[in-house]
Amino acid sequence: MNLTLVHWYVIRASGILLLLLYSGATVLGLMNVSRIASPQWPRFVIDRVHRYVALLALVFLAIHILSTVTDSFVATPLVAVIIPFAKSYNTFWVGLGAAASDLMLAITITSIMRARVGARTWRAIHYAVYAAWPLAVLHGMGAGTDASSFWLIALNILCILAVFGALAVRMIAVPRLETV
Amino acid sequence: MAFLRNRRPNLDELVDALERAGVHGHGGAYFPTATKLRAVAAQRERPVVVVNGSEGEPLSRKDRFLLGARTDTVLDGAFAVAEVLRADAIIIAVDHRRTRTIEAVQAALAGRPELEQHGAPVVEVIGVPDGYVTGQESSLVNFLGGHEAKPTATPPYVFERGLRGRPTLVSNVETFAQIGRVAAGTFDGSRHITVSGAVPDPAVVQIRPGTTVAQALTAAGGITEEVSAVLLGGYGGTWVAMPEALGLPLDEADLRAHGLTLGAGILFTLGASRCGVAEVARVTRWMSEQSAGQCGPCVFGLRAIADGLQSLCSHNPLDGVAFTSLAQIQRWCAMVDKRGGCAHPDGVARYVRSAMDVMAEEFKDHATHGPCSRCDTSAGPGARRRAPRRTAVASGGLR
Amino acid sequence: MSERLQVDMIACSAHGMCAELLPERVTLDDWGYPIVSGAPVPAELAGVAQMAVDACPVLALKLVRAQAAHAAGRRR
Repeated sequence: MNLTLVHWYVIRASGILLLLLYSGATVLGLMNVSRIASPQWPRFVIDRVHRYVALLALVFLAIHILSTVTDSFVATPLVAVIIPFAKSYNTFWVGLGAAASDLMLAITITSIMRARVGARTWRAIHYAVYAAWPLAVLHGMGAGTDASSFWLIALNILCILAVFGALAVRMIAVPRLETV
Repeated sequence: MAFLRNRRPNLDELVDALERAGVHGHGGAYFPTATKLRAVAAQRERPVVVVNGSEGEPLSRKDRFLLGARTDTVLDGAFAVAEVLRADAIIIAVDHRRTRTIEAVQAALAGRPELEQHGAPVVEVIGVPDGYVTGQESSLVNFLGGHEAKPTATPPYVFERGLRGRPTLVSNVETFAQIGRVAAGTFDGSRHITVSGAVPDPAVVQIRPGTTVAQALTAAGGITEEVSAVLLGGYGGTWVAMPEALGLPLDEADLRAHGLTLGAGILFTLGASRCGVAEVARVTRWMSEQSAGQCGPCVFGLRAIADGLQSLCSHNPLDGVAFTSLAQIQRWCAMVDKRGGCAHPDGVARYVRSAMDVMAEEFKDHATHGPCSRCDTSAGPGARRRAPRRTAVASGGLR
Repeated sequence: MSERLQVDMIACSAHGMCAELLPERVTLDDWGYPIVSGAPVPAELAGVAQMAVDACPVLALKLVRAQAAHAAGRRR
């Protein structure tokens, strides 16, 4: 099998998985702050699944980035995946991806080190997911090879609906909670 | 031991003298002053001294009395403490509404010789909000640091890390007055209390160890009507039954041995013409509104207790508030006790439980027959529209 | 060295995960706020206790050593 092709499939597959995983993590995080739970799915379980999905996404993010920079077919310099909008074959769309991954990395790392950074800093940085997730989705739409395929359009709609639905619940539920 | 005014006591001398004289804090906590001084002195950074004249307890008037009429004695203590601790700042916190008191302090400061010396501490008089919890030491330090007058999480305590991150000694106005007297060798163990209720006017009375409640009432001008119950320690204090209360010696150590306290020096007498249950309901409502609003048990618990007490006194129960049993009120008192970020809910729990003990008959009567003829029909601040109550939360389910 | 759980009630927002994870030491009051037992945490509960500390969204729950717990619990 053509190694370059496999390489390309890895970039695309990991990208699609990242769309699912990060959308899932965002939905779970919004569910958690909205205090949605059931006897079968207590709060701490939703919280843990949220963390595990985000960690799994981190793994696939690494695969996605690594496969992108080592792709011999299309040149994406390492600097372009770290610094958003540094020159690459597709500067704008790759730039969005770089921005999204930088933010997601910051969020994930501060979450792992939460006890050390403190609750306030952690919470402030965590809000960046409201920028990171849309950037990631847009990156997929613009840089993704499969973006125009039926399945991917359907997947995008599904993820966007899920996240916006969860966001709507959060906007309604949280002010009502009278958090003291 | 007498210190001459122009001879400077060192830390150990002052601490020993305070210990021998048995000086304790007069803001309500009765913390041994010598211990507090030592704790602040043991810190590494240069400390700040705060004279707490916020007097947020409505039944207390002694602090503004002392700041107005014994100003120099209070300042003697403040400067002595600042001297031995090598503090570079003294802040005198006064309820912002007491403009005459603030002016009196500023006038007295203008004539102090300490301020003309080289290396004198910077002294500021600052008006603080009039809330009940403003005077709590972490709350006061929080406000003075530019934030809200709300308690902060401890540790760190203010004596280790307070105003501007430095060790801060916060003590009540009267405590500084006593320190001033100890340093001058004129301390006689007396203290000031505020007597109110069934007396002609609220009065600040100076008492000596062993003065009884009856004697304090006489000094305040005598009682204007029969007294049905006595409250010691203020709105966070303890009710005591009559007639036993009359003979109680107002010695704090003695009172504490019996689970009582004078708090910030408060003696209130409930006249027999007043309804005790209505009084307790009114005060509890006020105290629940005075919550800093930071801790669930205080915000929701005190509100529930206040609602429950009000339901005993009101012809028109608040929306959705059915009659609350005495047992439920007791249960909530136990539930809020020691469950806040400060001692505010503890005080309310103590106040309500002691009332239900001392006025057991009246409470039972209200629980059985509803409001009495002496109840305020509006029951305090009145049937106001409340924010939605938080109901019991079980795990699971969308809320 | 025994450890005890302690909660910062000012930070606490009644998320309730601590009570879900460690009902042996944390129960909820009528308003959803934790009542934390000061009893020592035995070795077999230490892992779950740490999980509870880690789960709290506002980091209000802490595991402290016995002596520190006694001093810190006293408020003024």
